[in-house]
Amino acid sequence: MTAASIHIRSFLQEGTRFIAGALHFLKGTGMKSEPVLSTLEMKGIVKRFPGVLANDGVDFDVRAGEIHALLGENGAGKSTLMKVLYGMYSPDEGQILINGKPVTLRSPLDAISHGIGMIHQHFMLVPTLTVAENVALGLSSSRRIVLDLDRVTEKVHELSEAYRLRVDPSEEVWRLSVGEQQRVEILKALYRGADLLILDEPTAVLTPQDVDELFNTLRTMSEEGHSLVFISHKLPEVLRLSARATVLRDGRVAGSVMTNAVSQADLACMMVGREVLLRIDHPDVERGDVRLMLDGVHADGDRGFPSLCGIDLEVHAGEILGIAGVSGNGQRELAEVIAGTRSISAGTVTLNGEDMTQWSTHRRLEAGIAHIPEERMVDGAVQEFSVEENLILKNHGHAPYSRGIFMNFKAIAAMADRLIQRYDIKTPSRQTQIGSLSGGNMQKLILAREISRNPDVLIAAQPTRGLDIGATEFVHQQIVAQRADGTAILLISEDLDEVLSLSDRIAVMYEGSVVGVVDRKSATANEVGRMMAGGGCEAAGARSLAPVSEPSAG
Amino acid sequence: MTAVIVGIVSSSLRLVTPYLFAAIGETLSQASGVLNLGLDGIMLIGAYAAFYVGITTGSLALGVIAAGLAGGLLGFIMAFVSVSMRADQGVSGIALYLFCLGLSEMLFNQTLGGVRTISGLQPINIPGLSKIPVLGPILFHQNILVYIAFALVPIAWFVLNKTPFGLKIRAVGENPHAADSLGVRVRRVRYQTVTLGGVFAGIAGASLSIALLNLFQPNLTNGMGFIAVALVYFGGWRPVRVLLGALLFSTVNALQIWAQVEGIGISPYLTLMLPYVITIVVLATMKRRNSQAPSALTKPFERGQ
Amino acid sequence: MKKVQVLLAILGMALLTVGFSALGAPLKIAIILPSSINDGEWSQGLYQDLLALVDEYGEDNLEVAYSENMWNIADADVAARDYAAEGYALIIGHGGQFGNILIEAARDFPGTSFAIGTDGTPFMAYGLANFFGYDASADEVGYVVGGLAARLSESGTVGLINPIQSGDVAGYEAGFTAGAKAANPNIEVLSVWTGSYSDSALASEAAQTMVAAGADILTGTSQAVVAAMGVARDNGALWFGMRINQSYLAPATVALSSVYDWKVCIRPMIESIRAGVLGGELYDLNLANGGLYVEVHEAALFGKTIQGIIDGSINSYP
Repeated sequence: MTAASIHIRSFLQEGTRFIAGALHFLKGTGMKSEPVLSTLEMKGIVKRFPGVLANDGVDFDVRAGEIHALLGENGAGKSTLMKVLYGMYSPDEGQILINGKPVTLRSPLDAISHGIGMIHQHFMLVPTLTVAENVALGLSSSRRIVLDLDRVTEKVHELSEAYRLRVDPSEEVWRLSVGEQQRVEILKALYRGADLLILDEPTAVLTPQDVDELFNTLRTMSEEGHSLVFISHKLPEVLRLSARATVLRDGRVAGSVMTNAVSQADLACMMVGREVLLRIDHPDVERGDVRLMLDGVHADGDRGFPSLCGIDLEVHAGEILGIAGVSGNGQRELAEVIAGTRSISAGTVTLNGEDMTQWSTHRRLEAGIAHIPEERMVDGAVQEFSVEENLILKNHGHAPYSRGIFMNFKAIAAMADRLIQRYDIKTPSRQTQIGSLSGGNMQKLILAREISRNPDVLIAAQPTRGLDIGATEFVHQQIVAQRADGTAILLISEDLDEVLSLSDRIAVMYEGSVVGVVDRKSATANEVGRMMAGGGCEAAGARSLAPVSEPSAG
Repeated sequence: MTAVIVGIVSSSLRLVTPYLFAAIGETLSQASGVLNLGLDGIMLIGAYAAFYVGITTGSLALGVIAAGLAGGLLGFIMAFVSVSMRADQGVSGIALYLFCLGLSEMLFNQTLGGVRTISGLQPINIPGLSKIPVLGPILFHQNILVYIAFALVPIAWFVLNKTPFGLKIRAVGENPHAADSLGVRVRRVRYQTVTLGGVFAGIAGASLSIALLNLFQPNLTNGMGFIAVALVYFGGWRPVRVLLGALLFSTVNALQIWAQVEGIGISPYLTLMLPYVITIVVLATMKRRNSQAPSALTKPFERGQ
Repeated sequence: MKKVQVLLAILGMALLTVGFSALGAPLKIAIILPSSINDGEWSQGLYQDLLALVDEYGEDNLEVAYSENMWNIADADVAARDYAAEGYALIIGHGGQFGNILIEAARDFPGTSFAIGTDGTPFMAYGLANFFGYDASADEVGYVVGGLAARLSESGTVGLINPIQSGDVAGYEAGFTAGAKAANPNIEVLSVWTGSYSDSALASEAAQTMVAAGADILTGTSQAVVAAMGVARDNGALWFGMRINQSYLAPATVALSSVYDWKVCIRPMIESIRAGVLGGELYDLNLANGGLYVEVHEAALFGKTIQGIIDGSINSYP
């Protein structure tokens, strides 16, 4: 079809759509949420992408007023299934029935007109527009060619009240917090009369308070008869919020269960397809000599302000020292001064009793320091390089991988194949550019590269951030295994549960200093949490006002 | 002194008209995310179409309509190439400009055969207002295209800020994926703005060939369209500021002509630089508050994951 | 845009059948023009004069090709080298802006003649044996018409609209001003430089401003001044044409034209090439050699008076 005919056709469509929209508005469905969608079924949905079968005969159903969790590992096909439901992808096979009648959803517009709304993981908001403008976008105005933002604002107010979604309709979206932006997304869907709301990982970016608020709203919505599909891989949340859970694995349904009848471990097992160790086996290991020692270390952050103020730490062989703290309190700089990518202004860093303060990054690497960086996409790997090139990145100068100025590609290939297998890196080949790998597989690759060098000291910064259960479990197992091998491990994580379950000792950082070191056997989350906020109970209130010393530059 | 100011102001109002048409149209298409660098070429073809139709039919109104149609067609072609074919906007705009430049030369040779003149659009007095001392003759004794050009500014402002269509334009230029998720037809909006921008550019050409200069010759626009594109950036994608920028540019231009005519002892090469120098100085010192380019400017839209 | 149009058909076949009775193949001349061949000014003048030369020499002996609208110097460079490679004997770059590229081309094609004007003087310093230059002493004709303008002006103010201060343009402006002042020391000569040969809008606005300042006679150079001529016409001012007979553009407005006869400098180039000398000479158009002359257009100069006498509004015998 020529562009011209498309253009003409779209003008005609505009006309009919305008009338349809006006009728829709007159009926009042644009505002009052009188649910018209009582059941929704997806039957035998198949969706293929080049080289991937994303959905392979998926059955899924939602009832009115139900909060239904859709669970699965990264790449299990959750988002694809929901994009099919929202009309963004058309399925290769299968059908969708609303109230028992088959429907075809060709575009989000179709889905919206059937009462389906979706809140994407990455918000679909126009930052330069106001909340009300974002809500009104794409809708016909009650004043035809003139915007009726005052009326929209009024209705947004009503909806905010009804569902406890606090947000100022006249504010520009870019000024809003992430939690508020999410509320705008929900308001958009409610305003359009969504009876079924799909939420793609809605808690991933929220603070605990925002999560509580969101859950209250979602419960209110479900009481009013709205159906909610909640995509997640955080098991506690799923059990807390939803009545029913459908688990996808490798594009197929692994099971659909009532959440009051299952445990986290059951769900995890369904997701991964095998038993998952939610609790990490932490055998006693005899603590060895001091491997890494920091003595009075001072360093500046990226903007030239002090970000480490006299750090004293020791890490022993066969020990995991966990670093807890709110992001931006010097953790990143701590990892960098040990790895050698940041210079220190005072103090010493000692490796196996040798002062390595003045050593180059390369010399530290040769001496047995391994680093899993926080920004794995930027600092951990070269996106444009292949899997094998990334695996050899730190060893390319050694036999058997090179001799003189020549690379031994045979040895490199053999090493790459061995690591890919041993660390279960899912990649089409060792020649694949790693930019196309999933986050979990990229992290496995970095882990493989660092650990295979048998380091004396391993710095693991946010090693499981953004990874799914399976990959997280794998990374945890590898770290614990390193501990058993006698490596001294510095584990830096913002996930307090992770720090508490993996570490032998926990050091808490606040504003560039270590405010306390506790033993895991005696530590409680409460106690550590208080220290993270800057000390005792009294200081906790003051902390929220104090500026965070150095926001991460990433 | 009054006469001097009257002269400079009326001169700048005449000069500003083609810039205003072209820059307001370009503001719309850039607000939706399409940079149309072919503006100067579309103006040339518009200038030719208005002149040719005007001289052959004797109707200047038909000439203006022909310029708008020709401009709209070229805008549509630009939209096809940059929106549907997702070609690089900078390159396709320059290609369109070169195509129009060559086409207008050919049409000039084939159909006009030489420089000819036409009796152009005559000034229209606005009853009452044109009698106001000093201001009247300047502001309310202009040809119809000058009035339309100035009327376009509040209209464009209103459309962009107060209508559902304008909301779509801004959303499509800022975050087309968000707009798409709400059922806004991203490509269609871009087709509409770029085509409309073409219509205005065509009329900008008409305002040169049958209102200001009353002749057509190859390369008549002499790069005005590129200045118009710069004015859109200057104006921070806001019609009123685009108007201010265009007025500043044309006033300084009128001023430098006046300075030369009055024999003020400055080298003409310094005064000739003045409009550009002032533009650069203003751009450099202007507060950049909220005058960010549309985030999706020059980025073709592709429905993705 | 590079548009090459070979004007006259190739006569090779005819010549072959007739035998080598004629002088041989025709001498081929190519001209590179910055604007169009009907710009009513600069390019049109040279083109018309070359057509006249073809008539003079006969189609068997002279052949002319042109590239017009060479706004882009790089395009002009390609065109010049194409012509040289195709065996053109003389390649003329009509405008000083083509000088540097033709110097380079002349070095690469020593068997081909190149010419630059106006202003050709600075390029003679290269001393190339296959390079001609041509100039026009426009100050002479400017002085003549400037003096007339000063005597003719009723308001005492006349205006000059110029592109860029160089070559014959600068000469015309200086000569016109000097002539006007000599004829009437109180005359006010307004002068504006637009900085461009093609900015019609600026030329038109300059004319508007001059009319507003009281000028009743306007003149100027470059292809952009046609727009200024329109301003003169619309405001009842007179226009003094330049370079060609511009009367046809506005018969009631153009009172006279300072005409350049380019044949005066092209003809000796042709003769020189025929004699085997490919360059080294600088030719000048001036009043003495007839390369410059003034053509008076009665319709505009006396038209109103004649019409007044005819319709009786003027009493010629009070």
